[in-house]
Order: sequence, then structure tokens, then C-alpha cells
Amino acid sequence: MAVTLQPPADAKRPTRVDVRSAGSGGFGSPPPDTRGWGGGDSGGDGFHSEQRYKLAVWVGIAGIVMFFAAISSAMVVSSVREDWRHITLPPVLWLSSGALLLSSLTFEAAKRAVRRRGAKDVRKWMLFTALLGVGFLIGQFSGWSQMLSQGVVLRGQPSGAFFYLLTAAHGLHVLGGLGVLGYVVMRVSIRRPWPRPKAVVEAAALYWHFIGVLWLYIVVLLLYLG
Amino acid sequence: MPEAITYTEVERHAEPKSFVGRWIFSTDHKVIGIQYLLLAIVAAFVGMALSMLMRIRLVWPDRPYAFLETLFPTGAPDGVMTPEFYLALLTMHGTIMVFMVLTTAPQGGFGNYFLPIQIGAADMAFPRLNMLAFWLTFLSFMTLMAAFFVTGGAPGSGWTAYPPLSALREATSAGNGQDLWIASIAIFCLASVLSAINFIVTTLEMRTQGMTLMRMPLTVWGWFTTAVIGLLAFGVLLAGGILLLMDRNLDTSFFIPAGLVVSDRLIDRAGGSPILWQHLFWFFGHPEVYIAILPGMGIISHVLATFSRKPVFGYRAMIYAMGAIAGLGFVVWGHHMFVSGMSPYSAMTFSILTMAIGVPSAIKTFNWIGTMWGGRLRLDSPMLYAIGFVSIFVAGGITGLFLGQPALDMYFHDTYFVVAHFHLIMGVAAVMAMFAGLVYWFPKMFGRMMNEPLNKLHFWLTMFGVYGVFGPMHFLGTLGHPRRYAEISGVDYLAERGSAELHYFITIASMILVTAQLLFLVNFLWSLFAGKKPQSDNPWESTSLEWTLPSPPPHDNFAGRIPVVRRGPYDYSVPGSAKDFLMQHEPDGAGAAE
Repeated sequence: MAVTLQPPADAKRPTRVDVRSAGSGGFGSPPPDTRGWGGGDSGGDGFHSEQRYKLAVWVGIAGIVMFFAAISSAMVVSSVREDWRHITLPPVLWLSSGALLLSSLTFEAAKRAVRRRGAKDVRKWMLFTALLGVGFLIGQFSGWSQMLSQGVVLRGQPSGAFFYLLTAAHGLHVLGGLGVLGYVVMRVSIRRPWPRPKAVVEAAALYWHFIGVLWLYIVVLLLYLG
Repeated sequence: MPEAITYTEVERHAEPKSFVGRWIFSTDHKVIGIQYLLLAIVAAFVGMALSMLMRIRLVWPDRPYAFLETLFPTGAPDGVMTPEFYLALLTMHGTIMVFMVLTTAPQGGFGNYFLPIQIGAADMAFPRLNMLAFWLTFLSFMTLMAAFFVTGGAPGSGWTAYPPLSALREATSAGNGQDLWIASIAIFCLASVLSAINFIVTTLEMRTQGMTLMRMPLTVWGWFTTAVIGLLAFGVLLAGGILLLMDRNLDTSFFIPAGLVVSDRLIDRAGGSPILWQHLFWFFGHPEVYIAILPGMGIISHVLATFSRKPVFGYRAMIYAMGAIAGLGFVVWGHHMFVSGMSPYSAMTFSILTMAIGVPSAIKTFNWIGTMWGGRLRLDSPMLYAIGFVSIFVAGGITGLFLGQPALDMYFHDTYFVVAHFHLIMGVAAVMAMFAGLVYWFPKMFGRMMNEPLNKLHFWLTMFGVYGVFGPMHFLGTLGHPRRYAEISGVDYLAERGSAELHYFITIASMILVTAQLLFLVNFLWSLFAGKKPQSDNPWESTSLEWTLPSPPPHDNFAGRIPVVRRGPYDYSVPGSAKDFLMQHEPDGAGAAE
């Protein structure tokens, strides 16, 4: 197995200059600010910053949270409607929820394998995670058909409409996560060196855990309002 | 002996060789920036053409135009525009201008091109994500344009797409055009969120050594703050858009109330609330105003300092004011809904918060004036546009204080007063900043100067045109003239007070205004190929890092040698310095030997 999980040797590390002693803040502009974080304060070329993947996921999470917050607030407002009828969540959702939570654990195992630089283990745990993710989606899908057989449709049933909308929107986010998993498995499997496995896998794990937490939130929302 | 300029050596980025890789599906932030700008320029001229049709319809309602019948057989049978077509023009004009021009050019265009260079980075943090965001935006624009040519034509529910008009297939002029409109906006939301993630990570992670947060040019602060707003606002619009699309196509009833009768037919839906859409829409819609204007504020601060040869007055205050505007922008959406029947206590809260935005806005305005005060003003065209921005920002901002008070808004709501207000503060002010930015950075982007006399002529024609168009609209508003009407006949109180004459005047002024923009377009295209070469890489004698580079900059900007930053961005007229200005990477005493 010719897999390299180390940065290529020719990657030039930027040289550092002590900026604190260099130059004044200048007339009319504030004194040099050496606090802060990231790029200019720590020095170097941002493309080597392992931090940027994780930061991007954190920032992205903020955007996704706003999306679901908007739907949630619409649901809270709508729940006082006269035609609001409570729905019973299909039991299969508990199974799929279990799969998603378990997949967070297997993802953690994959993360540890990356730290140990064991490419084979990375692939194994990533595939487990992906399998559980697919299982979750299958569970959601059969949850939909259970709901449909109960007669919960979009028309005239606002709580049902929110149920389908929330699960579908969340499912799409899981699908996106599966795409990232597939990418990682592919990169680990091919015979080219991959300079940043740790940063990417850790960022992907953060996203995956977020999807899990988001699902718990949606379940609670549906149980109390739906 | 003065210290030497120091550099950080980094890996070089290989330049793509193929035409497609270089100019079409490029990951180079500079190419993507220009792509956004071109998209915005095309969109601006489409939007402007639509507004001209509206002005013509308002003044000469019955006159036929043969080309209109060819283009829009249902919208203008026999070449005469129908009232429904007027609503479609209005909707598309607003949507194109707000999303495809005001949101793309200042942020996607200038931000993409200059943010990485000004902070000393070789590219954005995620170049491929950047490319994806642009092409999604392009797809969104194409989807929007397609709405003109489907059954039923473009939607007529306004850029705010209020239900039930936008939510019901049965409603007038709402065929598939409205669906395409929603799809376009949804794609745009996605693109904007992806782009915002990139801007935020780039600003925080990619700065060169010494480029601390408090040494970033105010342009960068403007783009960064805008990205934060976009990140938090667009998701909400996306959610609202999906609900609306479901109401139209999947028989849900999120926004459709019971008992609606359309064309003598009772609509078989119940329980929804049109007000819910207004909340979701304006929670996005108000921050959107700042998405349009904050990058402009950054550009204007930058240009005013450069051409006043003075540091920006109150650099930190400018940053905190932008933060305050961004923060307050998220808690004032209710002032768009004072007449929706909201509780007077809510209205009062929204009103007080709205008034509070006047404080950071005034801080910025006074700081701009303070920056110019006592400076050695160079009245080159970027400076003229910047001063024009301040003028229009004040003129448009003042009326915000009227509209932010529920008692006054009850009267002004949905009149031309509102149209005048938001066109000045959001539309024209942001466009002025785009002109300032385009003329200021033109030599850096294209290695040539724009024609200065033509720019000055364009500036003055635009200023007169803008005040000629939007000034009288305040009067129309105070007369009680409602907006969004294709024609108003038989309304005595308007006719007696000269509304027809005012409309006529506005139409003539708008024609002058459009002519001036064509002049700018000619100047832009001519200068691209035949403009004068700038005398140096830093023709305006500016301080930020883009002016250390050749014009146009190479593929990876700094060619592997990124300068270490030694000072803040506005060291003009430094006492005791041999030079009039010190660039950000120059150590103390630079230029002493000269």
C-alpha cells in the first residue's frame, strides 16, 4: 500500500520575521496590533494553514444554522394555526438516529487513525461511517413512506409539511457529508501523496458531528411542535 | 541607514495554460473578480433598459413600439405595454439591480480582485470554491433572464415577491416566471453563502506577516463585514424561497390564508400567513441593503484618504461603525412592515433601533468629511465619485429618518417617497462607489488609465441626472402618489398638484442619466484597448499592497515574494518623512535617500 500521509518534502515553509519590532504604526494610524489570530498575526502563507479547513466548516455551520433557524421560526409561528395537527414520528426514525450517532463515533476512530498515519484504518473507519450515513438516509426514506401511509401529506397539514421539509433539508446536508467522505476515501486510496489529510479529515469530522447535533435538534423540534 | 523592505518567500502557483482554464473556468481570484464585474455590467444595462421602459410607460402609456411586440408578444401586444407587463418590468428591474448588480459588483467583483492582494495573499483561501460561487451566480442570472421568455412571462410580484400574489398560480402574470424567479434567488443564496465563507476564511487566515487586523485597509474591513452579513442573511432568504416554492408547486399553505378569491374563484387553501413571508424576507432584505453599501463605504474611505493625502479620520471608529451597522441591520427588519398590523410596541422597538443606525452612519459621514478637511485634495475622477457618494449617502440617509418613524411611515409607505429613499441610499450610492472603485483600480486591473475628461463629464451628468430623477420623487411621495402603478388616471388630488409634469420631468432626467452611463461604457471599452498607459505601477500614489505589483498583477500576485507589512494602510503626509506617503510594506525612513 503506497500511501503517503505526509506533506511533500519540497513544501517550502515560510521564513518568519519579527514584525513586532519592525516599523511603527505610523502617523495617524493605530499602533501595531500584535494580538488577534490567524494569518498576519502568526505569519506565513495561508495555503499552509491547516486551520483554514476547520474555520471554513465553522463559518459554514453558522450559515446552515441560520437556514434552519429560519425554518424553525416559521414552524413556531405556524404551530398556532387552527389547522395544526400533531404528528407521531415514525418509529424507524429512532433507528436512523442511532445510526447517525454511531457514525460520529466511527468518524472519530477514523480521525485517530489519521493521527497514527494508518491509511488502511482511515479507509476502514471512513467506509463504516459512510455505510452508517447511507443507513441513516434509508431509514429517513422509510420514515417518509411510513408517514405517507399514515396519511400525512403536504396539503392541508402544515406540521406534516414541516416534517418533510426539515427531514429533506437535513438529508441533503447528510448527502453532502457523504460526498466529502467519498472524497477522503478516494484520496487515501490513490497512490498520490496527500499533503493535508489531518486538516481535511478533522474539518469533515466537525461537519459530520454538526449534522448529528442538527438532527437531534430537529427531532426535539418535531417532538415538541410537530 | 533605513531598514530594508523584507519579504516572505512562498511557493509559486503554476499558471494554467489553456484558454478555458485561464479565462473561463479560472480559479484565479482576479479573473473571477473581472467575471463578476462583467456580469454586473451586463445586468446593470439590462436593468437600466427595463427602467427606461417603465419611465416611458408612465409618461406615454398608449404609444406603441414595434420592437416591444417582437420581444414580448404577450407583454406588449401591438407594441403597447400592458399594466401587467409594467409590473413584470418593475419586478425584474428590482431583482436584477439588487441581486445581480449591487450584490455582485462591490463584493464579488472588487472584493474578489483586491481582498487577497490587499492582505498579501496569493489567492483566496479556496480558489475552486470561489469559481463554483461565480458560476452558480451566473446560472442564477441566466435562470432569472429565462423568466422573461416562459409562458406567462416574467413575474409581477415585485423584488419582494409578497404572497399571496407570488404564491398562487391562479394569480395574474404568475406562470412559470415566478418559479424561475424563486429558483434563481435560491441559487444566488447558495452562491453568496459559499462566497461569504471564502471571504471570511481568507481574511482571517491568509494575511501576510505584519498584516494585523488593525492594519487592514478599510476596503478589506468592508468586504469582511459584508461577508459576515451575507453568511447570516442569505440562508434565511433561501428558507423562505423554499417555502414559497412549496406553496406554488406542492400544495402546501405556508403563506396562503383562507378565503382568498382570485378571478371570482375561491382558492382552496387555508391557514397560512402572508405576513410570515414578510418577516422571513425582510430579515434578509434589510441586511441586504448593507451588503450593497458596506463594500462601497470601504472603497470610499480608501479613495478619500488617497486623494486627500491624509490618513482616514478615525480608522478604528470606521471599523466599529461598520460592525454596528452590520449588527443593528439584523434587528430592524420590522420597519418595512409598519403597516402590516404589527403591535405598536413592536413598531416602537423597531423604530428606535432603526434610528440608532443613524449614529454609526453619521460617524462614518463625519469621518469622511474629517478625512477631507484640511487635506491637499486631488480632484481626480475617483475622488469626484467618492465625494458624490458622500453627497448621495447623506441625501438618501436623511429620508431614512422619516421612514423609520411609524407615524410618518403610515403616510409614506408604498409611495414614491420610499422609491426615492432607497434608490439614493442603496442604489445610487453603491453605484457611485463602484464608479470610484472602477476608475481608481482600472490602471491596476487593466494596465491602462480611463479617459479623465470623459469621466468627469460622466460624473457631472450622473449627479444632475440622479438628483433630477430621484429629487422630484420625494415630492410625488409627499403628494401621496403610490408606487408600483402603471398609470393613475382620474385621481384628482394627484393631477391637481402636477404629478404628470413631475413624471415627465423625471423621464427626461432619466434619459439624460442613461445617456451618461452609455458614455461611461464607451469610455470603459475604449480605455481597455486604447487608454493611456499609467506612468507607474502606483499612479495615484496609494499605500496599499496592490500598488506594489505590476499592472495587471501576475497569476499568483506576488510571484512568491510577499512583502512583510510594517504599518497601517493610510500613512499619508507622515511628519518628518521624506516622502508624501509610506506604503504598507515600507519601513520607517523609506525614501529618505531620494
